Amino acid sequence: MNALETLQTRLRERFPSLESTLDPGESGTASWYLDVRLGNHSIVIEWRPGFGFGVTSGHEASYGAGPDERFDEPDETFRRVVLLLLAGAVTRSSTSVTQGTRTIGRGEVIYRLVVAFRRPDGGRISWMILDSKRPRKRRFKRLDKVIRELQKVLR
Amino acid sequence: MDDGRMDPPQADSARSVPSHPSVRRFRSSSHNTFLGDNGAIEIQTLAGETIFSKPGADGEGVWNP
Repeated sequence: MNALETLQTRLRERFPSLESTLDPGESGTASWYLDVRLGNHSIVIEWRPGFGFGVTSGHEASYGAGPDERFDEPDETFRRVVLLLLAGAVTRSSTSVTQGTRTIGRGEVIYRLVVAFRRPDGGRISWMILDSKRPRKRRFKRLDKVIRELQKVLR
Repeated sequence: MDDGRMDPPQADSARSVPSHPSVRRFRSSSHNTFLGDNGAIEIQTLAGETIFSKPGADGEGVWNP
Protein backbone atom coordinates (compact mmCIF):
# COMPACT_ATOMS: atom_id res chain seq x y z
CA MET A 1 0.00 0.00 0.00
CA ASN A 2 1.53 3.29 -1.07
CA ALA A 3 1.15 6.73 0.52
CA LEU A 4 -1.98 7.66 -1.44
CA GLU A 5 -3.71 4.36 -0.77
CA THR A 6 -2.98 4.84 2.93
CA LEU A 7 -4.42 8.35 2.73
CA GLN A 8 -7.56 6.99 1.06
CA THR A 9 -7.99 4.46 3.88
CA ARG A 10 -7.59 7.16 6.53
CA LEU A 11 -10.08 9.46 4.82
CA ARG A 12 -12.64 6.66 4.51
CA GLU A 13 -12.27 5.93 8.21
CA ARG A 14 -12.69 9.62 9.03
CA PHE A 15 -15.66 10.10 6.68
CA PRO A 16 -17.61 6.83 6.24
CA SER A 17 -19.86 8.40 3.59
CA LEU A 18 -16.91 9.60 1.54
CA GLU A 19 -16.94 8.63 -2.13
CA SER A 20 -13.42 8.03 -3.38
CA THR A 21 -11.86 6.79 -6.58
CA LEU A 22 -8.21 5.93 -6.96
CA ASP A 23 -6.61 6.55 -10.36
CA PRO A 24 -3.27 4.72 -10.15
CA GLY A 25 -0.27 5.51 -12.27
CA GLU A 26 1.05 2.72 -14.44
CA SER A 27 4.74 3.55 -14.28
CA GLY A 28 6.94 3.85 -11.23
CA THR A 29 7.30 7.61 -11.54
CA ALA A 30 3.76 8.47 -12.57
CA SER A 31 1.37 10.54 -10.51
CA TRP A 32 -1.48 8.77 -8.81
CA TYR A 33 -4.76 10.61 -8.27
CA LEU A 34 -7.38 10.22 -5.58
CA ASP A 35 -10.73 11.84 -6.36
CA VAL A 36 -12.86 12.28 -3.26
CA ARG A 37 -16.36 13.64 -2.85
CA LEU A 38 -18.28 14.38 0.33
CA GLY A 39 -21.79 15.56 -0.45
CA ASN A 40 -21.38 18.10 -3.23
CA HIS A 41 -17.78 18.93 -2.44
CA SER A 42 -14.99 17.39 -4.53
CA ILE A 43 -11.25 17.33 -3.97
CA VAL A 44 -8.50 15.99 -6.19
CA ILE A 45 -5.40 14.70 -4.43
CA GLU A 46 -2.31 13.96 -6.46
CA TRP A 47 0.65 11.94 -5.26
CA ARG A 48 3.88 11.52 -7.15
CA PRO A 49 6.55 9.21 -5.76
CA GLY A 50 9.37 11.31 -4.37
CA PHE A 51 7.55 14.61 -4.87
CA GLY A 52 4.79 14.53 -2.27
CA PHE A 53 1.15 15.49 -2.52
CA GLY A 54 -0.93 18.07 -4.35
CA VAL A 55 -4.44 19.20 -3.42
CA THR A 56 -7.06 21.03 -5.48
CA SER A 57 -10.41 21.55 -3.80
CA GLY A 58 -13.81 22.68 -4.96
CA HIS A 59 -13.11 23.83 -8.48
CA GLU A 60 -11.97 22.63 -11.86
CA ALA A 61 -8.34 23.45 -12.55
CA SER A 62 -7.26 24.89 -15.86
CA TYR A 63 -6.19 22.35 -18.43
CA GLY A 64 -2.78 20.97 -17.58
CA ALA A 65 -2.45 23.04 -14.40
CA GLY A 66 -0.82 21.50 -11.36
CA PRO A 67 -2.42 21.34 -7.92
CA ASP A 68 -3.24 24.47 -5.93
CA GLU A 69 -1.46 23.36 -2.78
CA ARG A 70 1.51 21.10 -2.25
CA PHE A 71 2.51 19.07 0.79
CA ASP A 72 5.48 16.88 1.56
CA GLU A 73 4.04 14.79 4.35
CA PRO A 74 1.03 12.43 4.43
CA ASP A 75 -0.14 13.67 7.85
CA GLU A 76 -0.03 17.27 6.71
CA THR A 77 -2.02 16.34 3.61
CA PHE A 78 -4.57 14.38 5.63
CA ARG A 79 -5.18 17.26 8.04
CA ARG A 80 -5.59 19.73 5.20
CA VAL A 81 -8.00 17.53 3.23
CA VAL A 82 -10.09 16.87 6.35
CA LEU A 83 -10.30 20.61 6.97
CA LEU A 84 -11.27 21.30 3.36
CA LEU A 85 -13.96 18.61 3.45
CA LEU A 86 -15.41 19.81 6.74
CA ALA A 87 -15.46 23.42 5.63
CA GLY A 88 -16.39 22.74 2.01
CA ALA A 89 -13.58 25.12 1.21
CA VAL A 90 -12.13 25.98 -2.17
CA THR A 91 -8.40 26.16 -2.73
CA ARG A 92 -6.80 28.83 -4.85
CA SER A 93 -3.79 28.70 -7.07
CA SER A 94 -0.62 29.57 -5.23
CA THR A 95 0.83 32.98 -5.69
CA SER A 96 3.90 32.58 -7.79
CA VAL A 97 6.76 34.91 -8.45
CA THR A 98 9.08 33.81 -11.18
CA GLN A 99 12.55 35.23 -11.32
CA GLY A 100 14.11 33.05 -13.95
CA THR A 101 15.98 35.93 -15.57
CA ARG A 102 16.44 38.15 -12.56
CA THR A 103 19.99 39.25 -12.03
CA ILE A 104 21.77 39.43 -8.72
CA GLY A 105 25.26 40.68 -8.03
CA ARG A 106 27.33 40.78 -11.17
CA GLY A 107 24.50 40.91 -13.66
CA GLU A 108 24.59 37.31 -14.72
CA VAL A 109 21.42 35.55 -15.64
CA ILE A 110 20.22 33.04 -13.10
CA TYR A 111 19.06 29.83 -14.65
CA ARG A 112 17.09 28.75 -11.65
CA LEU A 113 13.47 29.56 -11.06
CA VAL A 114 12.34 30.83 -7.70
CA VAL A 115 8.72 30.38 -6.78
CA ALA A 116 7.33 32.14 -3.76
CA PHE A 117 4.03 30.84 -2.56
CA ARG A 118 1.67 31.58 0.24
CA ARG A 119 -0.57 28.88 1.56
CA PRO A 120 -4.21 30.04 1.71
CA ASP A 121 -4.74 28.41 5.11
CA GLY A 122 -1.92 29.79 7.18
CA GLY A 123 -0.63 32.70 5.16
CA ARG A 124 2.92 31.48 5.56
CA ILE A 125 5.25 32.34 2.72
CA SER A 126 7.77 29.82 1.55
CA TRP A 127 10.14 29.72 -1.37
CA MET A 128 10.98 26.94 -3.75
CA ILE A 129 13.92 26.67 -6.06
CA LEU A 130 13.29 24.77 -9.24
CA ASP A 131 16.60 23.89 -10.76
CA SER A 132 16.88 22.55 -14.27
CA LYS A 133 19.89 20.50 -13.24
CA ARG A 134 18.19 19.06 -10.20
CA PRO A 135 14.66 17.83 -10.84
CA ARG A 136 13.80 17.59 -7.16
CA LYS A 137 12.37 20.79 -5.69
CA ARG A 138 14.01 22.39 -2.69
CA ARG A 139 11.99 24.46 -0.28
CA PHE A 140 13.14 27.29 1.92
CA LYS A 141 11.36 29.15 4.67
CA ARG A 142 13.75 32.10 4.74
CA LEU A 143 14.40 34.40 1.82
CA ASP A 144 18.01 35.06 2.83
CA LYS A 145 18.75 31.34 2.41
CA VAL A 146 17.19 31.42 -1.04
CA ILE A 147 19.37 34.36 -2.04
CA ARG A 148 22.48 32.68 -0.63
CA GLU A 149 21.72 29.56 -2.64
CA LEU A 150 21.13 31.56 -5.79
CA GLN A 151 24.37 33.48 -5.36
CA LYS A 152 26.27 30.20 -5.51
CA VAL A 153 25.22 30.05 -9.13
CA LEU A 154 27.06 33.28 -9.84
CA ARG A 155 30.37 32.18 -8.46
CA MET B 1 -0.43 26.00 -9.76
CA ASP B 2 -1.97 27.93 -12.63
CA ASP B 3 0.58 30.28 -14.10
CA GLY B 4 -1.24 30.70 -17.37
CA ARG B 5 0.65 28.03 -19.23
CA MET B 6 -0.77 24.77 -20.48
CA ASP B 7 1.46 21.87 -19.57
CA PRO B 8 1.18 18.99 -22.04
CA PRO B 9 0.59 15.44 -20.85
CA GLN B 10 3.72 13.82 -19.51
CA ALA B 11 4.82 10.52 -21.00
CA ASP B 12 4.89 8.73 -17.67
CA SER B 13 1.29 9.72 -16.92
CA ALA B 14 -0.02 7.46 -19.70
CA ARG B 15 -2.65 4.95 -18.67
CA SER B 16 -4.23 2.16 -20.62
CA VAL B 17 -7.94 2.33 -21.45
CA PRO B 18 -9.99 -0.83 -20.90
CA SER B 19 -11.44 -2.25 -24.13
CA HIS B 20 -9.56 0.35 -26.20
CA PRO B 21 -6.01 -0.90 -26.71
CA SER B 22 -5.31 1.78 -29.35
CA VAL B 23 -6.08 4.62 -26.91
CA ARG B 24 -3.92 6.00 -24.13
CA ARG B 25 -5.24 8.19 -21.33
CA PHE B 26 -3.21 10.98 -19.75
CA ARG B 27 -4.52 12.17 -16.41
CA SER B 28 -4.10 15.69 -15.02
CA SER B 29 -5.73 17.42 -12.05
CA SER B 30 -9.12 18.06 -13.63
CA HIS B 31 -8.95 16.45 -17.05
CA ASN B 32 -8.30 13.29 -18.96
CA THR B 33 -6.60 13.55 -22.35
CA PHE B 34 -7.14 10.62 -24.68
CA LEU B 35 -4.76 10.00 -27.57
CA GLY B 36 -5.43 7.42 -30.25
CA ASP B 37 -2.90 5.55 -32.32
CA ASN B 38 -4.36 7.37 -35.32
CA GLY B 39 -3.37 10.72 -33.80
CA ALA B 40 -6.86 11.66 -32.69
CA ILE B 41 -7.17 13.60 -29.45
CA GLU B 42 -10.00 14.16 -27.02
CA ILE B 43 -9.99 16.09 -23.76
CA GLN B 44 -12.62 15.37 -21.13
CA THR B 45 -13.39 16.77 -17.72
CA LEU B 46 -13.34 14.31 -14.84
CA ALA B 47 -17.13 14.16 -15.14
CA GLY B 48 -16.71 12.84 -18.67
CA GLU B 49 -17.75 15.96 -20.56
CA THR B 50 -15.82 16.34 -23.81
CA ILE B 51 -14.39 19.83 -24.12
CA PHE B 52 -12.10 19.28 -27.10
CA SER B 53 -11.77 16.70 -29.82
CA LYS B 54 -9.84 16.45 -33.04
CA PRO B 55 -9.82 13.57 -35.51
CA GLY B 56 -6.70 11.67 -36.43
CA ALA B 57 -4.90 11.45 -39.75
CA ASP B 58 -7.48 8.93 -40.95
CA GLY B 59 -10.32 11.33 -40.23
CA GLU B 60 -11.62 9.21 -37.38
CA GLY B 61 -11.97 10.15 -33.74
CA VAL B 62 -10.30 8.62 -30.71
CA TRP B 63 -13.00 6.02 -30.20
CA ASN B 64 -13.57 5.07 -33.88
CA PRO B 65 -10.18 4.34 -35.37
